Amino acid sequence: MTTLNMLRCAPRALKKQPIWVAPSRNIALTSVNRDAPATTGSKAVLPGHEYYPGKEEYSPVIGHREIVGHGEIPYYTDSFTVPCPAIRFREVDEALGKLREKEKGDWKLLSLEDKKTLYRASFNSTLEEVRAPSGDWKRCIGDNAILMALMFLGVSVIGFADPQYEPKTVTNEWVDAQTEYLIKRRVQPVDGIASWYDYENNKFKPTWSIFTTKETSKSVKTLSEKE
Amino acid sequence: VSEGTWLEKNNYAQFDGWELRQLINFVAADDGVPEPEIIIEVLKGCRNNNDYALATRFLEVVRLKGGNKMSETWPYIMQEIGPTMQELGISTLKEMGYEEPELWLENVDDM
Repeated sequence: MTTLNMLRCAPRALKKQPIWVAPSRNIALTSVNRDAPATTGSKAVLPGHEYYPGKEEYSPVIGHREIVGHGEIPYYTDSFTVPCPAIRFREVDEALGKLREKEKGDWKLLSLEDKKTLYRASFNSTLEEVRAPSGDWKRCIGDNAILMALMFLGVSVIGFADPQYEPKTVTNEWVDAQTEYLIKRRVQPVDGIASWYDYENNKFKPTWSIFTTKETSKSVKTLSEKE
Repeated sequence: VSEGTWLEKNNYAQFDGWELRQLINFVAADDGVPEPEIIIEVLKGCRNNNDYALATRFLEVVRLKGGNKMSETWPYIMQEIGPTMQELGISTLKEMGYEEPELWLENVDDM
C-alpha cells in the first residue's frame, strides 16, 4: 500500500511541483533570541502588520505568514485538540493589511464578508469542517469491488482455459462409451436410459432427442447404427 | 466563579495574543465547558488584541466542548454572553454560518 501511495505523487513530480518543502540549512535555532518579547523592534512591514520574530529564519518554511503563538518551529494544523496554531494560514497582502486596520476600529462596522475573510486568513477550515465526514468509505469499497471482480474474472476465464482443468468425463468419447455400457446392462429400465431405447429395432426412441445437441446427435446416430 | 474550578477569575482581558492562544489550547484539552465569566474575559482580550478570527475560533471550541450535550450547553452560554457579544460587535456562529460546514476541503491524506 505504501507503493500505491507513492505512485500518487507521480503527477505532482511530472509537473515539477514540490512534494514536500524541506527547511533550508540556514535555520539556526540557537540564534533565536527566546528571552526577548514578541514586540522587539517594531518595524512596520505593511499597514496593519508589525515585525514578528523569526521572520527571516523561517521564511523558507512558512513564507510571509505571521507568527502568532508559541512553538519552536511554527507550523499550521487544523484540529480540535490544538485549535489555535502558532501561525496564521494566509500570507500577508496589501488588502489584508487594510482589513487589519479596519479591524482595529469598531467591529460593528465590519461586514459579514470582511469577517469571513479575516477568519479564512487566520484559519484554513472551521472546526465543523474538520468534523465533517470525508466519504472515503465509498472509495474503499469501490476499489475492493473492482479488485474482487478482476479476481473472479481471472479465475473463471483465464484459470479454466487450461486444458489441465478439463475433466475427461465430459468428452464425447467417454459419454458414448458410457451410454453403450449402460444400454448393454439395461440399467434404469422403468424411468431411465433403458426405457428410452428400443431393443427390438436397436434404436433410441424419439423422446431421446430431448437430451441431444448438435454434437451428441452425431454420436447417437453412430451408436444406433452400430447396434 | 465557583470554588475548585481550574480556570479562575483572572485578568485574561490583558493577555497577549500569544498567551490567549495558549489559554484556548488548554481549554480545548481540558475536560469541561468553561464558565461564561471566563468566556467574556477572553473575548475582551481578543478585542484588546484586535483579533476577530480568534474570537470566533474560541466560540467554536466552546460549542464543541459540549459534545453530545451541545444542544443543552450552547443555548445557555449564548444566553449568558449575548449582551457582551452585541457590545463588542461579534456576530454569532449562526449568522456566520459556521454551525455547519461551509466549504468542502480536501483531506490532506487524500492529496
